[in-house]
Amino acid sequence: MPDAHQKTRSFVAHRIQSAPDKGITTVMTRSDPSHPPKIRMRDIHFSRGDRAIFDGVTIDIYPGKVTAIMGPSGTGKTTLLHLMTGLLKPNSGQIEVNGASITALSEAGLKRVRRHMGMLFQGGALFTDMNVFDNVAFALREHTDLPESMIRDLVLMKLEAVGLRGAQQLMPRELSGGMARRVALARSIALDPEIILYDEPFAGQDPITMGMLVKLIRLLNDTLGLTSVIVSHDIMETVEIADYIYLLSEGKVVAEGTPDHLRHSASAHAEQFMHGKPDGPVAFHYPAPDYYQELMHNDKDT
Amino acid sequence: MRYGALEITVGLFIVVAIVAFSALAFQVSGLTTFYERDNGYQVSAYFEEIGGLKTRSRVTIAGVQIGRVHQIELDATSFSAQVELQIFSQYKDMIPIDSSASIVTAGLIGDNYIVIEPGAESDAIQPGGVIEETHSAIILERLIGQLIFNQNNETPKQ
Amino acid sequence: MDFLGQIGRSILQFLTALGQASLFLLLALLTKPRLKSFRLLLKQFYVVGVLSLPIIVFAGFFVGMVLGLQGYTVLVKFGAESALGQLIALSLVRELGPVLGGLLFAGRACSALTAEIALLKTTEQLDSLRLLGVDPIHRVIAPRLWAGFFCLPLLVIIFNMVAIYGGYWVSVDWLGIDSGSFWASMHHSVDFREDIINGIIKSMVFAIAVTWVAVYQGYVAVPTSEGIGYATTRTVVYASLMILALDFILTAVMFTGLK
Repeated sequence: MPDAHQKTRSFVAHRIQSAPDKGITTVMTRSDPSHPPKIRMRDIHFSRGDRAIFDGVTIDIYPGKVTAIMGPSGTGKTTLLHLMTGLLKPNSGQIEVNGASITALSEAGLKRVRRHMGMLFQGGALFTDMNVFDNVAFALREHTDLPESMIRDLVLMKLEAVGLRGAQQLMPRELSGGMARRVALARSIALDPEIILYDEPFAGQDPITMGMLVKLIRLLNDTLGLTSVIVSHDIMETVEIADYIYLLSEGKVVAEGTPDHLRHSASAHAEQFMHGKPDGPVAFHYPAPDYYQELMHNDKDT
Repeated sequence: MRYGALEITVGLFIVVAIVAFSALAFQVSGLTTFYERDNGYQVSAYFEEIGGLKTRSRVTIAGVQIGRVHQIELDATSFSAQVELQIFSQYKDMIPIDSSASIVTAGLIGDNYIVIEPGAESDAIQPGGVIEETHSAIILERLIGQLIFNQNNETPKQ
Repeated sequence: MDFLGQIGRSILQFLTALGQASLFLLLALLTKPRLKSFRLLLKQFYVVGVLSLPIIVFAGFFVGMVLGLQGYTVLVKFGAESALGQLIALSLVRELGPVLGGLLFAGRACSALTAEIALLKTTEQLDSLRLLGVDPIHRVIAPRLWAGFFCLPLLVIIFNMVAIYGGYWVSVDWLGIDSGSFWASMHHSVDFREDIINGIIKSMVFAIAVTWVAVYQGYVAVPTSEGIGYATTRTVVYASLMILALDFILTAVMFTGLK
């Protein structure tokens, strides 16, 4: 036991020391061959029932970057995260995580890949029957044989990172929405993942919480050398932290690029979304027969 | 080691269930017969008609239960019912050899059971012995049928 | 033709669902037990068993008292009121205990199981478990299934005993039946193997059926607040109907040969 104890200690110390260096090394060019994408999605087709959600989506997530996937609601952004983690399987197309094709992996293989992934669910998805401490400790207890004292130290460190060390004994129902999300963040980084996925991290949060989450996501990405994927439709916050943005609409990537690039893009989709215009390529009206005709028909019928 | 409230309540729940099960077994179903079987001894009796008598029916003297019906079989030669009675061992050497057994009904539609009328002899029936004098069950339907028949016909037939 | 197609499609859909539900049950039951799973099981014993106890005891007591009153009014006409104990005990251990206990269990515990699992799904806690490398079928479903399997028979046993004492109270303390003949008539007519054990086997079969329905409905529920409501309703309806249908089959198999 003392051996394991020491090993983890030095591991943690190493992490903390090397973190700033990693932050610097993560700044790199997009097509650097020595840094292949962490997640590579190729020509993904996915449909639910008769409705096609993705119709040939290709996305690369590069290491050390914060990549945002944006789009109007109902474009299946959450589904995309589920595909990346193997919770769902695409109808066709290739998904590779760390070079492993997760469409071909068994449940056991997926488990190994997921060890390196953390995900922040939209509502936090904290386990409601455990307190904050046990929520964060869950993965550590489940996947390691660390002594309880060591788990305690690790959990307190993660909670300190999100500023909620004082809330460790609270139950999830006693937390505000923003606090719940921060606890969930602490839980998803408990096993020191390489990739972290955020599902609508800013949705429904007050401005203070939003600012705090923006700061946290960027900080964690840079100090821990993570690769982050954010799915969101909150333009202001996302543009602020994203290194690269994919814009989804109607099952396709309609625009991609750095925030600056998109802001000044000529693409009609980018234009509409980035500036929040009510009508454009994404129509204000749900598809319907001609307005005048329908009104007249109604008269005839009755 | 200390136990939480959860463990204690669940433990209590299971103990209550086990107690209830034992009560069902011993108080309700009288499972005790399984253990009493060795203690008692058996005597048999032949009846022309046993009516609704069943195994496990009571055997009584003066209303006090002294045993149970253990087994009922048809005697192939005489076409009468051979009934094995299990008498509790505490009544050993107490039932006179000239006692008689009759099948009676509790109430109008109640259970059938066996009543033993003690005889006057001083010798007692030994295990495996036979009660010679028996009175068959009274079949209510047959009695009623006879009654109606008698009323309708002035000359009753035997 | 449309009509035939409709029938064929419904049957195929039903068989598909049945196959999925069976596979799901198999996966949950083949879980390798670990030390941690014992604590999870204990928790579910509390939620499923102990929390259902009050309604079971309350209902049992009243059912027993009503049986005593109703049985008395019928039997007293034939002068056979001494058989009241027999009537109460037999109807309880053979039929009313397993069936009423099962129905109460479906209403109290199964609906709660479905709602809880569906809520875990809606709040993405099941996905969250899977991402943290824990199979929710092992972690969430299996302990609930086992707890349901064991708790219903225990609850039915308690229900029976409480109801018999309820009947005893009405018959002996109220209607003035002799206490000795109350118990004696029970003793003579209730057989341990044929009645008590068969009744418990019935409750075990019901337990497997209704708990299975409950956890499966929760697991496949549409993850919205509306979906939770639908799933809960479906659980109570399906579980109740299954109890009544299975009861007929089991009674036909177990008791038709008996006098």
